[in-house]
Amino acid sequence: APPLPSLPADQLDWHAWGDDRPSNELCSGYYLMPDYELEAASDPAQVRGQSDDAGYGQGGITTLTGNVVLRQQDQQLQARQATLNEARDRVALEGPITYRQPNVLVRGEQGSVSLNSDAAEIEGAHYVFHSSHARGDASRVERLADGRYRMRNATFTTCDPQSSLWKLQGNEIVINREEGYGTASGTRLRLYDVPVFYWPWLRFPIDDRRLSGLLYPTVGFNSDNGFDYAQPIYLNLAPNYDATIVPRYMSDRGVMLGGQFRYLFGTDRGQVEGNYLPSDEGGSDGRNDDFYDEDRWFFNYMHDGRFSDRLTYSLRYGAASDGDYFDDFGANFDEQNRDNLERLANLDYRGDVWHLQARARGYQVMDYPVSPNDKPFYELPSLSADARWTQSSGTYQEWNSSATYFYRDIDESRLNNPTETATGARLNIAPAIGFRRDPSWGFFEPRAQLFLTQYDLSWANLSGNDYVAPGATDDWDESPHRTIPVYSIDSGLIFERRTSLFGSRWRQTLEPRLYYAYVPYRDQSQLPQFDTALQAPSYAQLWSPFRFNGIDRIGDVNKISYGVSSRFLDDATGHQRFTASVGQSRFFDDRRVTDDDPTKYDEYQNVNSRYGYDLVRDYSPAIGQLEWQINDRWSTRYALFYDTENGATERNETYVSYRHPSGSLLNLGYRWQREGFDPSGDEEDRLGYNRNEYDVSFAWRMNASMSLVGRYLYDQTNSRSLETLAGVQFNDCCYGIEIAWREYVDDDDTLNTIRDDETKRGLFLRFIFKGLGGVGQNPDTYFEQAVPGYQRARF
Amino acid sequence: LESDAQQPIHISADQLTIDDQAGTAVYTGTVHVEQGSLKLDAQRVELQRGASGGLSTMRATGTSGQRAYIEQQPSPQESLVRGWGDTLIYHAGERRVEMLGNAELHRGGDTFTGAYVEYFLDSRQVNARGGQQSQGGEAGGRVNMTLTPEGGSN
Amino acid sequence: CGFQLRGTGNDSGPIMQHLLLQVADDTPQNELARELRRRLESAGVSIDPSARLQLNLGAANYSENQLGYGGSGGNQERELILRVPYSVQRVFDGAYLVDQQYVESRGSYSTSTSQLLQRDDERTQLRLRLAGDAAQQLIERMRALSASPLAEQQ
Repeated sequence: APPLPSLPADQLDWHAWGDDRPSNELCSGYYLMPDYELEAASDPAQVRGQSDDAGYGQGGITTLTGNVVLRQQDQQLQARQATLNEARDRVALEGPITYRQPNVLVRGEQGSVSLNSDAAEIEGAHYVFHSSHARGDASRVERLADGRYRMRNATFTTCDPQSSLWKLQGNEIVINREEGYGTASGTRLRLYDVPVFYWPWLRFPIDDRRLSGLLYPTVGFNSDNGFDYAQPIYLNLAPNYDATIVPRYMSDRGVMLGGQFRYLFGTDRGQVEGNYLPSDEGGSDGRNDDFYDEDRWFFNYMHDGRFSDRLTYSLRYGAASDGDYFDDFGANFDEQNRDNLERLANLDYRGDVWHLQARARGYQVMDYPVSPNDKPFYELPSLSADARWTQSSGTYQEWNSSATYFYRDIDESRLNNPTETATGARLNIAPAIGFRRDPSWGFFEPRAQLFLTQYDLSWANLSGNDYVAPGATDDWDESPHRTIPVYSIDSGLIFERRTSLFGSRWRQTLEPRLYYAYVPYRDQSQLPQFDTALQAPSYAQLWSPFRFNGIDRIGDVNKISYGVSSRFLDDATGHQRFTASVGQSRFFDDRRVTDDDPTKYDEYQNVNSRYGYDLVRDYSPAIGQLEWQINDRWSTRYALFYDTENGATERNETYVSYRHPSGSLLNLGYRWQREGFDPSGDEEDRLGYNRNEYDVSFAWRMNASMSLVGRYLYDQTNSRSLETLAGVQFNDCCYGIEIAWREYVDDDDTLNTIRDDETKRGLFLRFIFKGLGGVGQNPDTYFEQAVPGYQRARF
Repeated sequence: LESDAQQPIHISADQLTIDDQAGTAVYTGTVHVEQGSLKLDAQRVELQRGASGGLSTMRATGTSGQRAYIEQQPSPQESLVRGWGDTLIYHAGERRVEMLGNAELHRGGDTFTGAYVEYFLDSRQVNARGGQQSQGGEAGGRVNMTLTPEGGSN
Repeated sequence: CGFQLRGTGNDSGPIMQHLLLQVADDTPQNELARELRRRLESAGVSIDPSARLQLNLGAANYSENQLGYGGSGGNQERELILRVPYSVQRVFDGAYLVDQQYVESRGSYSTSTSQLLQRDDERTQLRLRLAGDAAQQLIERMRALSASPLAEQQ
């Protein structure tokens, strides 16, 4: 049966905003419950009434006629005629009737209401839920004793009375206001009264309290999958666990079914999710796609729990059918960017002194094809114990220890660095003693640490390897050990004065700092490399004895670092407005320990002298940094790495950002970095050219209903745009539309060359029916990662 | 009670004037009438004798400050029925009481107020009207009531 | 040029001796709370009820964004920003000397798909360093407040 026509707005307690409309208000008005016509009787069981005439007749029937008003507690009925039965527990109503409960209005032709329970039925009804800004019509509205409303042949929408933009029309809709959601069977979604979608069964929230209900359908068009429609349906199973089922149709891939199950018990919470696509149709490449006609799937389990305040544990297990899964099926830009699936079992005890951890950890790298040296080692397991004792005199002792078994099964024959061809166990003990005092005028910290490391290895035989001389590792020790001391002295003074500048009073500090570090040379060229990487130069590294992170390489160094920084602190609040620092290291000896990567150090005098130069230069780059909070909206940051020996800039970056209270923001960025500045990563991970990038990103909240987000990243060296990102969010009273467009360069994991780069495009469209979709859908956090400071508006 | 009609009528008042031709007796001052469980208090009560010499109607009026009051025990188990009005007319034959002007009736757990309330003593039927159609009173007046469910106070 | 060693000159007094600390999610895993307690202690501030000021620390929020091109995996640079809301109250009358201010510290680390093991360890170390920076800024703020007359009112 076609839905009943809706009532005019003035009969739905509707009040249009005048000029008193709040600035961020999207709807054209609001529903307001008028006052009650009658006072409720003091005795809650009694019914107070008013009418033109009343009669108490035969058989105890009480009949009221002439615009009758009845009031019982917070329930009010108005009708042309009302008849109460003898037991006074039921009243039948005739003529245009109005039924009111707090935040509920139902107008109808006729109906009956029970007076000793909350049950009521009204025929030919039109209803309004004021607090949910929801309304609709129904051939019959029943209020059940437990407070739910069951409606036959009903409609539901959150649009303003005069707008018929969307409405749900179902054979039966049940609204549970207490739990905050509704369910509907045989439901059609009507846009401007045109049926657009059909659900046999549907659950939707009627307030934003619960993450439940129909989630926003996501429509996408991209070069790989063609037309891409995902319709998540949320199952609110219990207060502490719920699930989402996501059927997804892709024109060039087929139908994929996804699911997510979340649970929360006490301090433990977790989530299981998975997607499955039987026999992939190959996407845009069709038959010659790498995974044509294969099943594509993805599975991920996460659990975090707490045995006690100090003892926590977490479990992760992620796996996917292949490395290209996220590139092809990432539901949003964030997922497309995902480069690994973690596998972890971790038990962590955090005492006041001791920090104990036992874990097993590994990753599936989401690349295809995965080059062997990109495959990380599994830690099966890794036990670590760290402690720190401090005495009031300032002396402190540290105990750092870890025992780990590293394993990976790869085709060693394709590795180019022999030190990465071992598996085995490593025990590392690194006690340290030191002294630190922080009087207000400075600090002084001498420190000594001893690294005792013992390996138990098995080197792979490299017979089939054509990169490395055959048998290179045959005579390498299977259980090498290494002992290296690390000495450092850190010291600084803090001078201070009061000045007044730009019309306000500041405390300015001048903080000279002097640091010395000495690590003797130990030959580590035949030690494995499990979790070690050479660090890029940085301001923090000036004041640190380590050139590598990880344990397998403790770089030899004999350097003194000197620097000075100055801070302007607001005199009253101590708020840091401006800080600038300059620093440099002077190396007294060449450095000899490297990560033995042949693509960097092969007889470093002639090949790739860039990395060789880093080992022999007498001065580190002079590093200058500046951060200035100009006012509460504008701020700027600047950093410069300058090679004083050759008089060349190695890296500089400038950022200017503007933050407006409304949420609008602008970020301007420029980055220049010499090729080879960052030595970490394998050959194809290191940039093959100078990085020279302009990075502009903005978010503009034009008004309550419209906001734009954008980013443009331009690679000046190769004069091409690396990424263009645009998002429009249109937000109206009862619906929202989100369009996200991204065009980016996929470098296929080979940063050292741009020949194999290809540009990819993707468009996402999302419809949000306000009041229907919970916030449960994982919002696309990519915008928030790509545009610093941007907070996605909550619908 | 059902037996009220057969009970003798006792009336006490300050003054009494009798008009034999018209068959009426008018009591004024603080008038108190009792007939079995039926009691009536008013400022002025006019008794009308029927053709058979028995009481036909009793018309009681109060003053502006003090409405006329009538009460009756419908049956031993039921609680007292009490009524007020600027003017009360008791029709003995029909055992019907009309309350006109600021009429109010308390019957069991229910109360009725309005311009005009009519109560049948035996059938316990009540009719209340906002406007006093019988005397052409101002229309549009409203009847107010408080109804108590069966399990209520009576 | 007017510079003097801090604490030795006349106008910049030492940091307050006592402080009350109230932390939003005060679990042992909260690096910032641990770092702040350590630095307060080494700056000679004891945390005990005889303090005149109370520092309320909100929940620490780490946000991460990409510097430069996220791309699909080569070595990228990621920026980690720690942002902590805080307020300072006078103990004896609860008045807020500083309300809903925040401290922010940021740092970056470079990572690539071929160094997944190192990425987590680097992020953990960076989080610790940022917690230290934020704690140092908080101490600077408390130093400024401890010299302000407002804190004196008894």
